Amino acid sequence: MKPQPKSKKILSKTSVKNKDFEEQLRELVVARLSAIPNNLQMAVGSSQYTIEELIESVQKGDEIGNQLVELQVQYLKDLASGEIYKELDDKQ
Amino acid sequence: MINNNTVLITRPNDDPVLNFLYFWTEEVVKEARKRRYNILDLRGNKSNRKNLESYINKSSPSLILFNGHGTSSSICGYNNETIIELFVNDSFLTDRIVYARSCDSAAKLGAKCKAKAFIGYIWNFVFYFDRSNVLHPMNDKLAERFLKPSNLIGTTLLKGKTANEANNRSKSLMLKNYFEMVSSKGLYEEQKVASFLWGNIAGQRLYGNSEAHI
Repeated sequence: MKPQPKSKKILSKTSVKNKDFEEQLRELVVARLSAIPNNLQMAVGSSQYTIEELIESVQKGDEIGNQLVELQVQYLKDLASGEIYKELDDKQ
Repeated sequence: MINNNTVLITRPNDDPVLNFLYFWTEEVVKEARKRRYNILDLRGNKSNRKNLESYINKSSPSLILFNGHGTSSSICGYNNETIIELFVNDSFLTDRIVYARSCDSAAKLGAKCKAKAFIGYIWNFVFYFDRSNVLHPMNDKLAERFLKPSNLIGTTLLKGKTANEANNRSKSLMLKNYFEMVSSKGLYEEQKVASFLWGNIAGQRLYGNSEAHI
């Protein structure tokens, strides 16, 4: 069944190797979040977050912030690798 | 003895996020009603462990649809009470088809319990909504992009289709929504949050017998 399970440890792996890279990833995700209109909120787990709160979490590096970075990096990797289009082919 | 004509649904509503799931689940309840299932609807504060265990013992539903917060090994009900937990009372899921619209619960609970089939998420289940729609969740077109495909799991299973078909139909609709959202026809706000829908697609898992059906 696709997609295969993927690691959620992207950030922890990169942070060990390269702090600057980790910081760049955070900045990338903050930039992506900043483009989301402020009238929207994200529902995840037991909470709802405003865009400002999400940005703050990513900058602080708390649990939800790290999860967001990992999910966004995984998304960008899947986009770049064509995994998203493979999934589309599988479902057609 | 599993009762193929009975479906159990949990839908607590004690915070705004759960309230969205509560109202969107109505679509699944209508489908069950239309098909004349015996519906055990644990709505609001009825979504507690005592009721869940009692209803399963008494009516032995073949299909259980959970809405609520979750962890890798548990699913919560009203007021964040843990109502199903791995190695504690996961035997209540044994031989039943389960869909858990909750964060993380497929990671350990879904993978290890003895449900006939278990569909859920190995990480966060995420959706976006417009804050002006908090009191009118069904009016939220953005939330619909995320929640309609997840409803499709329940409605497909209620039509007697297999767990694999339910999983695939849901993923197909999420993919369709994703590509519509990122296309030039997508609204600006849809384009900006479409990546989170991909997270739900990639995190949705089916464990157990993929050919299981009610």
